[in-house]
Amino acid sequence: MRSQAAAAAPDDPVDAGRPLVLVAPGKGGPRVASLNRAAREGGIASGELLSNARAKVLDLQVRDWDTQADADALRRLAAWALRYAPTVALYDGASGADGLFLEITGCAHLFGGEVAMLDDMRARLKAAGLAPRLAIADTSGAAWALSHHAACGTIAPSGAQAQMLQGLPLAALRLPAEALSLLQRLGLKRIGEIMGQPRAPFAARFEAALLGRLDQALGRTPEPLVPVSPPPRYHARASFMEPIFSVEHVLVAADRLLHDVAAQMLRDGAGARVLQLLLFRVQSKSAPDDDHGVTPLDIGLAAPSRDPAHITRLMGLKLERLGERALATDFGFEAAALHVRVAEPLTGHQVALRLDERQTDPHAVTGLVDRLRQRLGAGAVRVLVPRQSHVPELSEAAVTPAPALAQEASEAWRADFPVGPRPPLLLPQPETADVIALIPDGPPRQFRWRGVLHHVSHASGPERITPEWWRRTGDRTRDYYLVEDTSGRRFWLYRAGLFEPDAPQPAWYVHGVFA
Amino acid sequence: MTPRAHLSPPGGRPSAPAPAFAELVAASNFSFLEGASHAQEMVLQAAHLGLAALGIADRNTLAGVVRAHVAAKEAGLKLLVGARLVTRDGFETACYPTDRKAYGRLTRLLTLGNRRAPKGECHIDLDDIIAHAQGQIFIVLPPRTLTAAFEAQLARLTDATAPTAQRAPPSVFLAYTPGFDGHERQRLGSLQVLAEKVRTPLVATNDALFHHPDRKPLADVLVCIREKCAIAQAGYRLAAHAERHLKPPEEMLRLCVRCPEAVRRTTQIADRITFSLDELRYEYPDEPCPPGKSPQEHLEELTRTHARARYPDGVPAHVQALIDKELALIGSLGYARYFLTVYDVVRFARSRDILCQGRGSAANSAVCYCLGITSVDPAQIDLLFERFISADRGEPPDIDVDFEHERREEVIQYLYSRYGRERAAICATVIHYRPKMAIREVGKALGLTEDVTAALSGLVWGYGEGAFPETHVREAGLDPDNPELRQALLLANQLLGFPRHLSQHVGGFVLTRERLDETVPILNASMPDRTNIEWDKDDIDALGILKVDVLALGMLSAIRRSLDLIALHYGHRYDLATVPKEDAQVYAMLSRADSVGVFQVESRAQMSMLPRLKPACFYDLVIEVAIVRPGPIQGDMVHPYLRRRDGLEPVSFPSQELQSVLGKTLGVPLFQEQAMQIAIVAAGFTPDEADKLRRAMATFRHVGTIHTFREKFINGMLARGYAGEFAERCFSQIEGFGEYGFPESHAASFALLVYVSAWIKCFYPEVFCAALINSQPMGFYQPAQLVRDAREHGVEIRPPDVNASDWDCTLEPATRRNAGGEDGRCAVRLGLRIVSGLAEEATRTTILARRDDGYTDITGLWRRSGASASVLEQLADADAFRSLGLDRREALWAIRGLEGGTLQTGHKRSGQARAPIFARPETGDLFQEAGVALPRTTLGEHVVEDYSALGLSLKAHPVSFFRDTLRRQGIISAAEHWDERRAGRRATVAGLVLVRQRPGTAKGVIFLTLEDETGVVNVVVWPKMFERHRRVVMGAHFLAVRGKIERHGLVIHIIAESLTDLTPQLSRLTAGHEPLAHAPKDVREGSWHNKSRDFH
Repeated sequence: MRSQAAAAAPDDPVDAGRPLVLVAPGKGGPRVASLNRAAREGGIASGELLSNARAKVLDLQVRDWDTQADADALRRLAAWALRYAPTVALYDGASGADGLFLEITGCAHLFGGEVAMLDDMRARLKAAGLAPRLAIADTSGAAWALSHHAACGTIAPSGAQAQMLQGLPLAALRLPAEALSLLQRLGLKRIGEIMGQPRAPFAARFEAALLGRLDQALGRTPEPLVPVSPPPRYHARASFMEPIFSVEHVLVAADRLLHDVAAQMLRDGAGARVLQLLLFRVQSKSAPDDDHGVTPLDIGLAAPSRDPAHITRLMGLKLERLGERALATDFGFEAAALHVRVAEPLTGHQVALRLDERQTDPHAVTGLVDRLRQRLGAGAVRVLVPRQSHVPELSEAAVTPAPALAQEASEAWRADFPVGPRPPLLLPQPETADVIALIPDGPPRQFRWRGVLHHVSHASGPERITPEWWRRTGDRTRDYYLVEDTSGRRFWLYRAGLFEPDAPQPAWYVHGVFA
Repeated sequence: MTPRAHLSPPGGRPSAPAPAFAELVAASNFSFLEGASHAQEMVLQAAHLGLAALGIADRNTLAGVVRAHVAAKEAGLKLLVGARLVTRDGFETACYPTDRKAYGRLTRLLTLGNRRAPKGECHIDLDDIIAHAQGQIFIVLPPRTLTAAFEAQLARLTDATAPTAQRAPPSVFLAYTPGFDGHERQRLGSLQVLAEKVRTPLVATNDALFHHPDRKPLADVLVCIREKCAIAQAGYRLAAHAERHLKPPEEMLRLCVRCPEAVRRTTQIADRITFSLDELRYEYPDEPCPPGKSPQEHLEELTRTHARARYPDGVPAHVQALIDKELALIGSLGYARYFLTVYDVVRFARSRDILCQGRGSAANSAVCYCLGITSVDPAQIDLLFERFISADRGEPPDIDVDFEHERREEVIQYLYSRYGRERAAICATVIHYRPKMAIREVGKALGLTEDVTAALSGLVWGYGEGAFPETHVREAGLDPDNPELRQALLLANQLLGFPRHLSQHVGGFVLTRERLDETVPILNASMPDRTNIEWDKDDIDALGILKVDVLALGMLSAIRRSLDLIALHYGHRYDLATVPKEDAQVYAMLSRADSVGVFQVESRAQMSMLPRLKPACFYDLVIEVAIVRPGPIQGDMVHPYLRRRDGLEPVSFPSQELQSVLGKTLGVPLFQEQAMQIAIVAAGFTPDEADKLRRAMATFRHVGTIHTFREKFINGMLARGYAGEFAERCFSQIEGFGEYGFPESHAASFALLVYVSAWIKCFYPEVFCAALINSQPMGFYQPAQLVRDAREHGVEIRPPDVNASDWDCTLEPATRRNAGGEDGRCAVRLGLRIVSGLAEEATRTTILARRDDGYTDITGLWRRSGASASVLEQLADADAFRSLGLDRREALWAIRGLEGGTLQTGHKRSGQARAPIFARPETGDLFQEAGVALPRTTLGEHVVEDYSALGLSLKAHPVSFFRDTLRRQGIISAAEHWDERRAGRRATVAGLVLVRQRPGTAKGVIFLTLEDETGVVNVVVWPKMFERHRRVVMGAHFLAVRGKIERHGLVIHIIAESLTDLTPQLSRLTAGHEPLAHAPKDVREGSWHNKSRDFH
């Protein structure tokens, strides 16, 4: 193991203007979980009660701490970091769960050495609005210590861990709070103060963690990393002299990379089943991307293959289908990597693709939806989903299916919704009608709608529905009636407004028709 | 005969009757998070709509009925008292007892359900209902869709309660609630079919959740709070319309045009229910009175006997006259049993050596003094007894008894054992929505961001008024015209004063002669072994039920400890009544504001008042206690009083009639009852109205009625020729009294404790210091300040040590070389209790194992005491091993080495400490460990560690390390700033921030207390300064303040003009690590009022 590079995600959220804190529930109420520089300058400390923080800073911005979003962001950052090294590991809890280890052994030279690599990393992270703390050392532990407690970009010369760590505080060893506080109570502050001491007395008084961490940092015992994604079975990487933009160029690059991995697979008698083409974008300084400039393209094969032409063709089809936006980039791609995630011995037979009409696979619907959308355009396919609202026009929504199907799976139409009969056709807009009815809440006797006079033979109702007051629409309470006219047609009418003193005269509307 | 025929009115059909309707199913907001109107609102609306009667039935509770009862009596409306019984399987029925016996069955049913369920729930089943059904009328509420299961349940209830007599009317009815759901006719049809089949006649009801449809939004918000969702997500959990409100008879008849008999029946049912809460006659328990004697005789006899003991030289004639007069009054009102009951409690406490002291309207009577209920000698203060027991109000006397806070539980358990749980229980306290909580919950429901709701709730400080004034909203940087915000504020205002849940009152005990659970439902309290009733003290008062308040008071514990220590070390035995009275030295000490630790007068506000008031006799203390309260301060009565006292202003009375009311207080109203008397004498209130006014001020419930009182009060006074300005001030004072006012009798009881604690401090400062620390937590000051104060009074304080300290602080003979200790004065040995986090039990074991020879080394200590590593480590952190020749680090290292490598850090430690695997203690001496070089602890580090382990250091004051630096910067010490020559000049001082305080009465002014090695500095930060230096004021632990020194007599303040945060400097003491782990005590607005004892 030559080098470990650690890149700590910054404490500071991107926008460092006004004081901002993220809060999480804690003892005695919400507590500050994270804060930006402006907030820190306002005297707020991490872990403080929100009420205290507010007392210190009047115009404090407060958001809930979204640990999931943090974790997601870190994962995206890890995907981005794959451009530097194939093995990237997230910090575990003990390391703070807010940064990355990169196993850069054998990678630094691709970037012109360790210094250049760190410079490149820092420049890109800064461009993305992050404030990185970077360090390189022989061990993860030392890299973590230096990244957190030494100047950004510190590189420990190989074998010089001990010397570099000497003066750092003991907290740099990623010790449990308990051990750290005990050390402090004993007056021990710097790593150097325990490095030279006899081991036995410490071993007798501390959990294994203390000496274990020290040994890890010094490289006496290994610290295994758990990579974010299992390292690809086969991989190839290429940087371009000039950024590339077009589908053709991407395919040419892919073809070249496929030839690289094909050679490796041929050696093993294997073929690829799942591949991923990673396209690294030239990053724009002004608009940092959510995905940190990586465009992935996943290809699954029905049967293992190592035929570059076949796979390139599939990639071409996929790109064609995705359309131009798939490769949307301001400044082009500067590098690409091809990872073979799943490989199998290349022996199987091609299986015919056939759509069984009787299949009950739920994904079939998704497939159909996908095909319809390819043909009719996105947004052309909608699905009605229920929204829990008493107000009829608000009680359903037409949404684009793909996300809706996944997201609203729990939102299903249910028979036990406490609502009255609803017409199959709800008019897009309620339409006014002239109605004769008994005051105050008798059903319509007759009504004129769209110029036609209807005599009511049967009626039921009213079903009274008050507007959703919190929307402040100014709507009035409605009384709905289901009526049947003398020729057997059924309508859904409502009177907007109740007969009350000082209230304006209610008005009548037709809102729907039954079959 | 069809069932319907039963119900025809006997006299045939009346001709063209005016429509009559009684709403039989209405909920109040005691159906928590369901009902959206107060019981009072329901009642008033029902009366307004002309309903024949109103039935309030809250979900499995009677908690709200007393309020409804009181309101209905006032409004002249017939109220049906009942509950909505909801079984575990969802069967719902309103239940109304027709008579007192049936009412007792209902309360027992609810008690049964409460007692077997966790707090806040009530588990009842249909079988239970049937078992308690005799004499009840049930209105069964059908589910949305009728089911076979429901039909079976209904049939069971109906059959089980079917009248035996042929012509007797049925007692089970089926509710028909017009649903406005589009299926009206089908629904009514199926209900009619069911009613015929099961023979349960239909009755019309609105199943009302609110009194007026305008409350629909609030009802929706309550759903959201209940379901913990935002309004936009609440969906079908909200009602489709606002129809569940009270409706007038004509409208009900119109809605029920297909079943008019269902409307008619409501009044017939109401007529059958004759039970009223007025029937609950309270009877005092018999126990305290020996059989064969009338209570009055017994009381008179007891009083006579005890009077002789109180006055060994003979009862003074005027006291005897007072006793006779009081006994006659007690006799005529029949209160003897009450006094005997209180006497019984006090006697028990005394038998256990539990110090106690009564207070309250009747407590400061000669009879109570004789019986030992209070120690305020009636010869010392003349309080008019009959003023407090008012014959015409018919209210029982009121005596609260304070007990030592650590031993009150013994008294409580005595009451339970003496009267049994069926007859003794604690009152409830209704926890109401206060502004902060209201806006937070409404904000959450409306989906306002945490930011906005926090900003809004941040506007509300402490014991606030009900509203959210627009200016405050603007202050928070929010736009009060924003419709979303307006809506939130409107709803929050409506939610104010809604009950949230029932909690246990601090000590109001209700004792009855008969079974208590036949008077009111009893429920489990959150504390084990406690039960409380569903009614709060106002309810109890309103029904004329009597209670004894058994309260806890920390100062009584401290005084008892002090008196014990004095007896032990100095050989004098005192009690509250025998402490030498009217000692001039005590008053001189108080007049110097030398009152740290003294009961009630130790706060900064009190301390600044003492030198101005210069108390010279007991009654001055009574005034001192009462004057620094929100009432007199808000009413701007303090300065007029002081001016008159100092002779700067003539004593005059606004009128002849007020002279008798205000005579004792130089014409300035200071006590709560004076304000009430003004309302009666000067504003023309009846005593009853004055009492209502007082209650209105004390709660949020009557927010709306205050302005009518105000008008009446001011106009009343103007009409009687008083100055408008005086009237305004009197009213503001009443407003201020609200929850925190002091009646004279309470003040007198407290004044006695002020005097006794001051006396101890004056003559036995070392005893006072030890006893106060041993009674912590209590009072205003932490051990650090108490220790500092004691040292300033020449007391030697010794550090905690494993070989010398007990758990409590103790007194040790002074050494000869101790200059401070005068002739035979003891020194204080700090107890191990001041070591933070130390467990008492384990520590006591360690102390016990010490034996006479003491410990000589840690291994021996560990072996002998069996103390866990965590206890030993905490002792090491406290530097308590000095007598073994080890400082804290050396001790810690040694402790860690004791158990060898097997012992792990963290929580695993204690469990393994005694595992048999440890042969090490025996072989330890043979095992030679490699030497480890631990850094030497500097004095600065020791001080910091002392502060974090003990909250104080005897070694040095943290600020002393910076003195040279500070001096170079021209910063003077606290002692220097007291110099009279500096008064009026500017200076800079620096110190640790001890207390930050923002009193409600001070309009945004912040008071800081700084401390350096020479003393304390009081800093005043005006609001503008605060805004500019918010971060420093709120964040600094170590602070430099520049400003003008203001001196009023003995009171010295610095008015801050600039503030500098020196906190980072503190880390220099520890060479760059943890800064001082000692945070200042934050006293937010209002909270210090809560600290002080208020009567409940």
